Amino acid sequence: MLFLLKERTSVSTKKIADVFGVSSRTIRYDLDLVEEWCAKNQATLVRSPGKGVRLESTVQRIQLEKQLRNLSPLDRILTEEERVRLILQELIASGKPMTLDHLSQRIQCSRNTVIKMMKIVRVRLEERNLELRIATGKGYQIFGNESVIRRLLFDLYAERVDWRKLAEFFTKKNQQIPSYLAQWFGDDEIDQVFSILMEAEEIFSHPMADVAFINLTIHILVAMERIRIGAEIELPNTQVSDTPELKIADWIEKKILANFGLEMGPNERETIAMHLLGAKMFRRIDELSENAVQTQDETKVWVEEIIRYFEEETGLQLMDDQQLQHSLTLHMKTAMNRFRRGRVAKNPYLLEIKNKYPFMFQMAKQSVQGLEKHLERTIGEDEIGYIALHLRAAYERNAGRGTKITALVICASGIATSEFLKMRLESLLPELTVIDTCSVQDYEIYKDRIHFVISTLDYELPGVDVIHVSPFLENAELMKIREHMIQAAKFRQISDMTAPSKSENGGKEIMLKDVLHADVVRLNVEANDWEAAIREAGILLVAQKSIEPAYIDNMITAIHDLGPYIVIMPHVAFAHARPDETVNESCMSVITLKEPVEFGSEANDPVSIVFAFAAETGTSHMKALQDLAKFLSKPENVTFLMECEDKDLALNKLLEY
Amino acid sequence: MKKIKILAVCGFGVGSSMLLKMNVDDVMQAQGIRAEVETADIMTASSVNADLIFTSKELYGQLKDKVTIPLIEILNFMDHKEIEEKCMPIIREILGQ
Repeated sequence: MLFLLKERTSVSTKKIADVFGVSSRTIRYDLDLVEEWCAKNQATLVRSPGKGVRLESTVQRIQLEKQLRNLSPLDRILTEEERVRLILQELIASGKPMTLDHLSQRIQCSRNTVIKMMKIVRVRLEERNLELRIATGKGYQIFGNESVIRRLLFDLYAERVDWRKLAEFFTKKNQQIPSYLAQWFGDDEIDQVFSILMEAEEIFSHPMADVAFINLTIHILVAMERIRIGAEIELPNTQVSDTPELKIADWIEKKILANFGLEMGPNERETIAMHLLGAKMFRRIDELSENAVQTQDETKVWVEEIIRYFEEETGLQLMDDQQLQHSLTLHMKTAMNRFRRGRVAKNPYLLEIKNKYPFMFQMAKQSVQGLEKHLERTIGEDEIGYIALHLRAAYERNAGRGTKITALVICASGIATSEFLKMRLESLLPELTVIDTCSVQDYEIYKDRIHFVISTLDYELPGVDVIHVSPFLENAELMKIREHMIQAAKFRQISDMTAPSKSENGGKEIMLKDVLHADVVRLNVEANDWEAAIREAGILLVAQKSIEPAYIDNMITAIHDLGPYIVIMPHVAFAHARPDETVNESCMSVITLKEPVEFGSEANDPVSIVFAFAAETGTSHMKALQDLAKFLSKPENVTFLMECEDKDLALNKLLEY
Repeated sequence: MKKIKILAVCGFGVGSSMLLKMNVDDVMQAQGIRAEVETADIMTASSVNADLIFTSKELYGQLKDKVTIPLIEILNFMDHKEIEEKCMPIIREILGQ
């Protein structure tokens, strides 16, 4: 109504609904109440069809406004649900026993209604392991775990929150605080808590997802409300000592004390820290839960745009492909941040993707044109490559071409059943290739050609999944098979990506002895730090022209970017970078250091042995790595190499495997 | 018995993850677990379907927010015992044993 008072012209219900973040239906219902009130207060609600509504009054607008301010949310007919909530809220807020009279007064309904409501209230509380106690002469009071009570209060508030509107408010500060929040906590309080958290986010560089941020704001507001009435929270089960979150919580606590004069104490601090930690988790749940898509609406829009484009071009139905939606959304969520900041995630498979799937690549490139326009940025080929991979996976899943999923039907009870089952499968799951039907004994013949076995018998086979079904294939069974197909397709995608492409290396397997020889082994090398050590190892490979000097820089950059994860075991660094044009052939070198160096690896420093390794795309180097893995898996070999003074001895030992 | 899908993750999916994969393979074999172990780089790891992921301490932090399946941090890629101790409880859980 205040809004209508300010707007002097007619407004449509749609617009009002938008402003308040509720449905038009609610507004229409509310307008009836407004009309009622107007009738009592010398005002009229003028409804003009096609234009909307407007308030007209014979008294001063100022006066109307005053009267309005006196209105409490209770001055209207409440639904049963609203009453239950209000009773819960009142009971929690008071912290002391409340009599029936008191409650009926607060809720503005008869004692009988309150008694009726109390039954529901009791059930609600029991659902949460809280107890409603009645003390004669004193009234009702809620007993239970403080954290559970807070959770309930939180939910009571959160239930009525329009998250989208709230997220808008929290992200663009200029908007008005949603009225229901203001009504519960007061503008000023919300604003202060909000600013404190904003500041905390900035000072500690601990950004939170919108939903998590709002959650924490409400949690703190709830906590403050509870502290005021003297409620104390238990120490959380999991404690978070020494985490950065605890430091942030500590800071927030001090701020709350300074701003509101509220003493929080260690338990509250731990709880806030838990929420901060939870905020991280929340972001994850957020990404998965369909109910919390608000925060990623923008990503969703673009993901849909990409899929829609791809659908049009390929004629495939992909919008129902949950897997594509999900994986692409996950990918794009982080990718969008990269795009905005102008950062690029290098794609190690780029060349391969472009060669193998030029069509997909082109498609991916075109599908993001709208996004590029929107961001006013060009999206690099590396990024396009990732999108192409997702599309390619979906294409294979849906077109049933490429990675064809094959199954074998096994049946012990006779050819008839298995043939029947095969026919059913072929008509119901055309994308699945049933290569044959056979008995258990003949399974061996097919085992290398199938992804899984479908059988009417419940037994296990070595090395393969057996899906147990009835001959008539019920829906649940079909779903089960589909799940297996999706799994198999997805996994195949990755194997294909890393599988050796015969054209590139003639399918030749490289053994450790093919790459390690006297020229690429050096003992007792002097190096001042880890970078120097990597350079010393890398230069041996440059000398034999196996890599370009830039590859050495790439190995070093990788550690700067990703951390010293290449220190794969105590004393051993396995330096390598992405296979790209700076690699001429798969190769490896090894040096031992005169003085060990620190790589910054907490678990495995100091390092005395540095391998430099470069791979061509594909898995031709697998065998060499396998040999090396065998060598390194024996600690005594590592010790031997570290202490070895003779190059030939060292080389012999390395090649023993 | 269900076949477990395992992903070994490193920066590029070609070097250290391959070494890790081999050791995981060995452990799985020794434990009699049917497992398919693949390698992946850190960028694509989160979109691959698997039952659990192995990675290094350094990459653990970068991955943990992106995946919902169990993530195991391995300090010594060559240490069969470490691999075994860290993953077997999780694998047993996945297999419902």
